[in-house]
Amino acid sequence: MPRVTFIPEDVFVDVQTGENLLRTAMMADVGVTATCGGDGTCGKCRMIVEQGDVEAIPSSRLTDDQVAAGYVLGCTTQVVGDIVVRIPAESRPGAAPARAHSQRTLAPLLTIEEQAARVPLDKSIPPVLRRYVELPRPDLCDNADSVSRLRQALRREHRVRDATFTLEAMREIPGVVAEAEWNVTALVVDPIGGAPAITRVEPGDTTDQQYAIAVDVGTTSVEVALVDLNENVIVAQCSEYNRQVKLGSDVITRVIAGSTLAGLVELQHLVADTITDLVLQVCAEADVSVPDLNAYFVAGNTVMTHLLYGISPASIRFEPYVPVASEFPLTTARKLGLPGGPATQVISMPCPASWLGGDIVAGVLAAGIPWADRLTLFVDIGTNGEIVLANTDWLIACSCSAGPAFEGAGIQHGMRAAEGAIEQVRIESTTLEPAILTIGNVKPLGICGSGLIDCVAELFLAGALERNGHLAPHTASSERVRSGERGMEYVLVHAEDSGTGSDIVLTETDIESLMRAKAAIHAGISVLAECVDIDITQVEEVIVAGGFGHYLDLERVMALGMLPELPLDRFTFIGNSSLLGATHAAKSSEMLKTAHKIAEMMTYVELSVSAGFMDHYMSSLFLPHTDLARFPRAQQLIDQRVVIEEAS
Amino acid sequence: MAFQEPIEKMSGRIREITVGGGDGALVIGGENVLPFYAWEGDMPNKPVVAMEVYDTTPEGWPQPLVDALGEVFHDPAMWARACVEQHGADMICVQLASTDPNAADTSPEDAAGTVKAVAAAVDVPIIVYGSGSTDKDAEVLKAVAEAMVDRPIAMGPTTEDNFKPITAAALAYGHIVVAETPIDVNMAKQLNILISQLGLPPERILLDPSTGAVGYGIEYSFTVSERLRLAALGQNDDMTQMPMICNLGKEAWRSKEAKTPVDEEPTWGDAHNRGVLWEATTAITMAASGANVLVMRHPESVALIHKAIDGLMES
Ligand code: FES
Repeated sequence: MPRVTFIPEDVFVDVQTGENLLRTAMMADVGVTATCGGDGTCGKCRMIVEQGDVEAIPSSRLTDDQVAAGYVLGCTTQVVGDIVVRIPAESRPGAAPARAHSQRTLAPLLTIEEQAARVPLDKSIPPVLRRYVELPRPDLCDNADSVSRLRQALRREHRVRDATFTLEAMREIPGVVAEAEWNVTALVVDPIGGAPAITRVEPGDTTDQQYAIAVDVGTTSVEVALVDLNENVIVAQCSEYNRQVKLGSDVITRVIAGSTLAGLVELQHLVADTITDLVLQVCAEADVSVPDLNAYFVAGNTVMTHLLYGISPASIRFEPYVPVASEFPLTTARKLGLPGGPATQVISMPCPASWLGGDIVAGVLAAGIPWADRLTLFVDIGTNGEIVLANTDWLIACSCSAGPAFEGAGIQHGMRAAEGAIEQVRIESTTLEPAILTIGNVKPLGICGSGLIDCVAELFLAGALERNGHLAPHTASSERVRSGERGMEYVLVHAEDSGTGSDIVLTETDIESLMRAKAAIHAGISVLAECVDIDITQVEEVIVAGGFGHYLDLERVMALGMLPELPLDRFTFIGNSSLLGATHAAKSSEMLKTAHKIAEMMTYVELSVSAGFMDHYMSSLFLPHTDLARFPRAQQLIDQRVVIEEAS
Repeated sequence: MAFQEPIEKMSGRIREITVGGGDGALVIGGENVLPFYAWEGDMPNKPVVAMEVYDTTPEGWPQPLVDALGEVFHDPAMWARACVEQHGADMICVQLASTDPNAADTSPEDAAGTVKAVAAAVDVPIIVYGSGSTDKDAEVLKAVAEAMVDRPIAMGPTTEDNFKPITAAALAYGHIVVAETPIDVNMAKQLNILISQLGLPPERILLDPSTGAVGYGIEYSFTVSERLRLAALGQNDDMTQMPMICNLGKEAWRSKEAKTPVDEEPTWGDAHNRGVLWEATTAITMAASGANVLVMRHPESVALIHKAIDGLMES
């Protein structure tokens, strides 16, 4: 990994080859100015490469003399090897802090290889797979019926035992064998328990096209991945807000809306339409024929899963709060209004409890918890914060309502983690000048979850927030703080730098939403630890999941008091684990089986009847926490800045 | 070997703070045990009673209160003097009810005048409560703080919504703030932290965790107060170690059991004793939960409480 050293701070970080230099500086916590989101247009993020080489895109913002002197724009420069970079005074929002030679370590999103390494590599085949067989022609001596012959060939060549045929598949046989002279491909569906089913028969060898769709159906966002089952890789991926949002932003309002037949039908259509658009998009991108899709693997919370299947979730709202089903029958995409061929299957992750769905089962699977021999805390940060505390022998889980803030919804200038979303923020303590970086390095359009976390944490660490989340009175003199329609607000991006043509601000109401969300998650963690009488410091690994972009600064997450303070090297940011788990299940029937085992093993703690939850919630509704002694590092980070301010 | 009674040693101590100024100053707090657990540690200062004085003639008060205090209702200074000289009040709590924008909306200057007059009449410590109107209290208490620059008072209620101006006034003029939160341990602690961070030393904060009367959620108030004490003593939690004040007179006399005349509820018995006992029972319960200052109304309940506290302190 290339090492990047920043002077005069003398701070270094190790980053992946090809990492953006501005991002590297932000990750290293060295102060730089950057107002255009990394678009290369503001020209403020100038840096001087003093040693080593970089790949920089030439910019009209730099004069020839500057280029000769080693100047680059951080945001349009890639790190390709060890370098030493100077941040010139004009690129600094404040004075250069005096810091000792130090390294800042990061926990970036796991790479695809690291994600794969968390689960055992196994040789089991995908649960839905096309199998090619060549049969001898029947004759008077070998006069078994076509289905029997096909079944026999599948057993002989692919060890598919006791396959049953659907009526549709049987109807296809005569035409197919006539066309392809007994060289045929069968779509074999091998569900959990029960005999494999042949759901389609195609002429010739079509096994070069084996694709599945993995879907994470979230309350706020839906994300799909197109998985190439032959190559075992994701070939395209995209996400969109769940269109059901127009009928309510949280799960409960969806349950209410889905309690009437008309509402249920509408919600089913809305989510199916959302998925449809995404599937058409990924298939077009990868040039995959939609009717040939093998299957869908769906991970969603219990309510979302019910709604997708068109099953009323109404009973979840009333005592004893139970859903209709925890496992869902094999069905076809067409029956659910999803694009695909007549035999494209839909398989869902099991949903162990009303508030513990297939998304979390998939997440635990993706996190590799069943195989990790250590005490693990798994936290999935979304509209519902799901928390699992587990080792190989037991799993205990809870779910708390965090609201849609982490997905950028319900925030004045919030947006999903998509191009143009501000995902990284640094704020200088004396001037409150921000440095921002967007997904895709374009002009900023809004703030996504990780940007929101960064921004609030930075304001807090910069001393601009009081512990109750209000902007401190002294910030009123800053030109970045003003009073807006919804109370005080912090101007993160001025209109001239934004891609929307107007200011991008963070309001006190936004901060409050984030405070509530982080308090719910921390309280959930505290309750689980209490339930099993474990001191949270004993946790050996904390796996953080969520549909954030590529960056989630876990030190900032901790400084907010969302997660317990533990050594940074115990944290792992896995990304959208629900989607990842669904992808694993698409690739391997062993994984799908393990998912069902996870669901059976999970013990669910209902927070709404937990005596301690409210109390923990109230004490977490403070920055970082009412019990400051539990967050010594947050205090250190604050003190560090104060020292810097005094020194400057 | 002789039996040794097990002693639970607490690691923390409630801050000992001085309220008021001059000869009338009074020290409260300082205990390192749960209330009245004399055998486990020491409780150097007994809980005290602050008797209420209103800045305007109260309307609609139950007859037992009118009988006892009606003669002085019209004049806060006289009322205060009667409380101290005749009824043994340890402190006076001036309730500036008339400053409420929804009531008479009297001016901050008038309020300051009332407090000054009361202060001139008695030398015991003075606690001043605004009407509970967030913005108005900030104005009123600022004026009062300024007027009382020569004689330290305790003033409140300071809430999460107006702690900044009120703390600033306390800092500028040398007073104590009463931090009021709605019966919640965490919020109480959070407000103390917020106030401290403005630079007011913790010795100048009194904690008002809010109180319910007997029959109106007192068990909840009791638990919250007790938990605050347990955090302060057991966990040595610095930000909960402020002495506690319970503004209970209001609550007790608002209850229908305390105020309903006997002709309306003949089976409830004598209204006078009923009201007095309702207030006294509420007060002793809160004293047992850890209150250091009890804000009360009726002279007879005050006498009962003094007697009960003396008894508990001796045993
Ligand atoms: S030019 Fe690099 S951030 Fe604007």
